[in-house]
Amino acid sequence: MNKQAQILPGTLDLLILKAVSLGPLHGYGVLLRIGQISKGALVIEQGALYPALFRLVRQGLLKAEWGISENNHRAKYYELTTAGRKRLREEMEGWNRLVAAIGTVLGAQPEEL
Amino acid sequence: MSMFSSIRTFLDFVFTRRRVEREMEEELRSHLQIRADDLERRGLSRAEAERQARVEFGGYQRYKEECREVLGTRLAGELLADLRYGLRQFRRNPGFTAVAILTLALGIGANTAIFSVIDAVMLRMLPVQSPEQLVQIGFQGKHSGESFVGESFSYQMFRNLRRYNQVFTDISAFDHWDLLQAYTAESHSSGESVTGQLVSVNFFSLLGLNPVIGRMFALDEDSGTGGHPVAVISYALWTRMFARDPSVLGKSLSIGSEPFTIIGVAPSRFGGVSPGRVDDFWVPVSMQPQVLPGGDRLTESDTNWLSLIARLKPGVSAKQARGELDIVYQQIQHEHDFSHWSSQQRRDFFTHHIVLLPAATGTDYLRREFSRPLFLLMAMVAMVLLIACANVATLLLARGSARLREIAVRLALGAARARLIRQLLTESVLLAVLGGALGVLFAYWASPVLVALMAHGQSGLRLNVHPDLVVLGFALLVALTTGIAFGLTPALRATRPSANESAQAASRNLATSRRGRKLGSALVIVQITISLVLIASAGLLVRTLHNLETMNPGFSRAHVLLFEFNPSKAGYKGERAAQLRREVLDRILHAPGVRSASFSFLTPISGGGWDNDARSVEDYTPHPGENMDIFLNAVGPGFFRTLGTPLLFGRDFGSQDRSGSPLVALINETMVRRFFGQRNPIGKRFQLGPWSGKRGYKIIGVVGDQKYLSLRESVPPTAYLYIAQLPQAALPSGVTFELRSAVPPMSLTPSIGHILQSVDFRLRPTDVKTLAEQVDASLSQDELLSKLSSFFALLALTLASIGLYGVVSYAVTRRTQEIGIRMALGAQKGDVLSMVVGQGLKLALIGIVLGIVGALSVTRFLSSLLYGVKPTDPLTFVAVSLILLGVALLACYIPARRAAKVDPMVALRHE
Repeated sequence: MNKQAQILPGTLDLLILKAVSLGPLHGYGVLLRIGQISKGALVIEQGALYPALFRLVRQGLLKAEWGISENNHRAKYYELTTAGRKRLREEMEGWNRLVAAIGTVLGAQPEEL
Repeated sequence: MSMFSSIRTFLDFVFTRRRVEREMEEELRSHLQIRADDLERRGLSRAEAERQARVEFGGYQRYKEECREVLGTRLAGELLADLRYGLRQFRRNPGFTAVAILTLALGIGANTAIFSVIDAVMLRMLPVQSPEQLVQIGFQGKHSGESFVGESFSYQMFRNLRRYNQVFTDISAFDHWDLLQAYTAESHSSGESVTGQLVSVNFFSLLGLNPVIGRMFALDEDSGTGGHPVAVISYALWTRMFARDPSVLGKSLSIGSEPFTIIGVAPSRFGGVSPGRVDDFWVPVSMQPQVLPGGDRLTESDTNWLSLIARLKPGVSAKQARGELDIVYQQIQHEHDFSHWSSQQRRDFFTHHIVLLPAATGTDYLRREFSRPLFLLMAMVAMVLLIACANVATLLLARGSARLREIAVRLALGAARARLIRQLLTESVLLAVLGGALGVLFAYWASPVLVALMAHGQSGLRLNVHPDLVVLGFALLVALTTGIAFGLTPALRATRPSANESAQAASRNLATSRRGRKLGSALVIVQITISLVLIASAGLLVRTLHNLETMNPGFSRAHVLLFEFNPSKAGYKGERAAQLRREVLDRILHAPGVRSASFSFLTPISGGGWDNDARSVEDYTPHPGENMDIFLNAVGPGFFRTLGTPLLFGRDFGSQDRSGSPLVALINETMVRRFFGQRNPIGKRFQLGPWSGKRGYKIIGVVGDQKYLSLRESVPPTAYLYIAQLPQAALPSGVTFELRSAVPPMSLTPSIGHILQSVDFRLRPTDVKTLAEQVDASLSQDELLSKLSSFFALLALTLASIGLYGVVSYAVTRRTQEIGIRMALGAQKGDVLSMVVGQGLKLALIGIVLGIVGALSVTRFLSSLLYGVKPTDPLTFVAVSLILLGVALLACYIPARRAAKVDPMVALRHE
């Protein structure tokens, strides 16, 4: 279990947007997908997901609709809006720049200075 | 979040919160179910799976709360809880709640009532198409050296301005036609009181109004004098007189004595373009000679009588339009025929320039007259509201001890201070909103009374005052502001962190803290200070009215009956009319109850005036450009005796003065002083217009000064001419008869009717009233101000004394134990009494002194409304201070007596 990492503050929204961008999901589905893609490396406390989902809906980045889950439960399905898609693109670029920059800094060798 | 969107969220919340809450709950539960299913599939028992799912989910309630916060429903939920809690508090303290709500209702109600009138007179947009494009055309210029703004134009000027206009979509003209009786063929005796307007035929098209039924005026209905007796009636009149019967079109409606054919009904909300009037009908301006006295004004280029309203072309600014219209105006002015004018009149004439007045809210008919009194009243009710706020704040503070214990407990249990403040503010705002709702009801009842007061003596005044959205919005805003204003300080004070020591100690500590007492005292002082300002202002206005009512106007106003007499409608003209007048006068003089009688062109304080340049006055050399204006009246025999104006020198008009005999005149004292100083004016001559003949008028006598236009204005130099000698050209078409009676004047009305009909069955007296009524009508504004300001002052005084009473009696309750100790140690009842009263009076005296200082600096703004009393009148100030002191004494004495009755034994056991 030591391979698991707490997610960085502020990145939960990004992860949710990415997960949902691959197809409509209910809340539990979002968690499953993040867990599946990260191969169980990212841990999100389950309850913490919902305030984030509601916030994204309120910001107009997600839209929600009631549906029936695979094992016959009524569940709310989330989907990206156009604004959500745009935001996801921006956030991803931002994230990649940040990672690249931090990577460069961390990978610096003494002789390069 | 903006105020608007938070209100929306709150409303959404109130109506949808159950659904939102349910959905959130369902979603979270479904999550747990799906997870439990997954876990179950991995081999856990159902119970174990569900437990595991819950554990993994984390703090269920905490996340739910977080979700609520995200959804914006947490704030709203708390607000709702606060409101419920507040209502419960109110139910528990019905006495406090009733007093507070009533106090606030009076304050907010008074403000709403005055504001609704201001809204109707000044703020409400006309219900026409794009009202913001409308302007009223006026002119600015000098008249006898004084600058003024005129709003009336001649029909010729209107036609010319319209013809050469480039900047307006159109220009329309109208004139008011005052209160009349309207009859249909079916209605027999009693008609309907109506007011209407003469309008140019483009009036409705300019305003963009379409008829509800029928049609508006056709463009050729302007042509030909009196050729188109057609009328458009208002929706209100259609409802009132015809019960919205569509067959009204084509029916005949007699207005005054002229029959008109109804051609259309105007839209329901439209009642003319002048706030202060509600017009019932409109007829083409070409009907003027038929309906308005004073000859044919359509061809007269010297008679200014029409108001002009115009619509700016899109893209043309008002400034640009003014400039361009003024060029046109100047050109037309130069073509004017002014050969018969005096040089002064010509000079004045060329100082005129066009001005444009915004007319989106209507023309200025009432605004100038009422704006000052209305704003004064608004300031007064705002002060009353301030007192009400201070009063409720005092109540909140005094109620504090019970509440402080509760608050201290809640603070000790970890409640956030901001949250508690919010809750206390919610309560005070709720209090204010409840008070406001009651206040709106008060205003609903009070506004018509207010309008009736304003309308007193203004026959045409009708205001459409109703609490519309603007007024309700105003009331709500006032209530919210009020709630925060009086609630904030007590809320901040009650939740002061130092209170967080121990609940018990804190509650005692704070309730009796010196700062708490100081605040209470300060609030009482504020109330007394403001009351004094209000009472002093009211006192000055009351004295003004009294001065005006009791002054000697140069005539005796009691026991005089007036009626208008215009025989020209019955076909009497020239010499025949003069003869008829003499005959009627003769019969009236012999009627029982009549002491003396006369007739005249004008009566004092009727609002009408007649002035003229004296072209020359014998033995008087005017310096160049001197204003030689004098006021005139034409009177019949016995005029001065009938009105009770003394003849000081010389003789009155008599039988020797006839048409054809040398022209004679009487002048008033002011005219003697103006032109003759100490010299004897008898036998001297003066000349008026060309109609006054080559030799002019010989002065045969001097009479006492009579107030002319109004009681406030100083008497102008006035000359009285003899009606019998007036040349045809200057002869008025109608006169007013004056009767001095030995009996109540109005009781003569029937016999006058009989006398006129016995002379000619077509003759009727019109506009019958007493001279006293006519004079009183001119004082309607003073009456309005004095009555309302007295009412508000009384309200202020009541509230302030309740405040003082509250603070003193609270102090007595608080100090029961101390008083008991004092009495046990030998203090007498008298000592206790004077101690308590003394402390209350100290506050009152500070308030009174501050109030006098405040009033002295405020009342000078009243000076233009005062008459015969200075804004700093010492008598008023002393009287007002004594009244306030007396009331304060009473407010302190009642609780003091209670204190003096304290039984030391009981008091010592008192906790």
